[in-house]
Amino acid sequence: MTGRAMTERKRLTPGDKLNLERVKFLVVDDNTQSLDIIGQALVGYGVRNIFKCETAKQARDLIEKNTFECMITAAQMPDEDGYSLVRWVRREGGDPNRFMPIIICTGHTRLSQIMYARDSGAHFTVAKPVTPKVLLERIFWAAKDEREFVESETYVGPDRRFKRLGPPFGIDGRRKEDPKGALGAAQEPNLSQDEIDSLMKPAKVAL
Amino acid sequence: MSEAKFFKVKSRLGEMVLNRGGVSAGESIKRAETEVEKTYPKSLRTLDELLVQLDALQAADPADPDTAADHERVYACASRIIDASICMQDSMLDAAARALCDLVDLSAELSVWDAEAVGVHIQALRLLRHAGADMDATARRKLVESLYQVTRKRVGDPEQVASALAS
Repeated sequence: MTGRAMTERKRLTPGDKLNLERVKFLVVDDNTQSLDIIGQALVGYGVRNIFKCETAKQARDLIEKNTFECMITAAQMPDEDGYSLVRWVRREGGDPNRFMPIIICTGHTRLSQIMYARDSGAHFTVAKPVTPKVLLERIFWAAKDEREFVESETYVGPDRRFKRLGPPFGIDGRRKEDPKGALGAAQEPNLSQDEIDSLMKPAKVAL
Repeated sequence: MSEAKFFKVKSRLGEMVLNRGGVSAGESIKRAETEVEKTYPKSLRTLDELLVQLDALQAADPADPDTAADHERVYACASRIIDASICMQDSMLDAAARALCDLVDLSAELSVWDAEAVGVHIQALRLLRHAGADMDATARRKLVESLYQVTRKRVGDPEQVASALAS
């Protein structure tokens, strides 16, 4: 196996097929322009059932009367923010809506909201401006998501623990400790069992 | 305190989207980009309106009791520039607007306001809006990096404040 072939999430490739025609999406954003951009992207993907609203309150009303397969919400909104809406969906959204994949779109997260955002219970966060390519990939990831759901006093949502396996193969990581490029095949033969044993063998030392 | 419950939920989205044929991702993205491009003229108009609003807010008297509310308006304008910058994806306008959001947010946390630092950010936004496409990528990146240097020098280090808030 070469280098970092193990990845956390499969990247969406141009050949992957998705059928979004019958999926019911709820899109929430107080900025009508942003609502239009996401709406147009969904139209391009072939989605026919798009419900748009400009406030968290309108979203709650729609959630109480409809079943959605996915919600895309802005993080910052004036009266009630997207994080609060997600918390409500996870606790009081009713079955099956409370388990639906939720994608939060944010242009900027305030310093005071970083932990609050992490604990909201959304599946993924997307940085604005949202491009069609990134949004479709997050929808693809949400569709393939196999994380368990967690219910506790302080958190309801998909399990937030990810295995740290490094950036996907062929992608430069953003962390300082991420190696550049593939690790490549081993350059030396594997250690023999005797050599491994000798590494663990207790040795006498003079004190 | 009760223990956390872990359980599997069948994904209705997964059932509907995967393994049912449909359109290739490449084709879907192409169609979506065509649809989104229809919003570009409106986004460009919005960008220009927001820059005018930012100029007016920058000119506000710092001693005015309403200045705190103006800071929120600067933050809101910068956030909306991030949304609208989809029509100028390679200009790094979104990164400069995010830098302004960082500056205003940090200023609010530290209860300070540096009008000159805000002014530098607004000038950078204007430059990227009108000349961003003609600048090379390195120049654009350096411009945005310099905005963060201004913030660190004049107001403080956002990472330190974030760590302090998290602890």
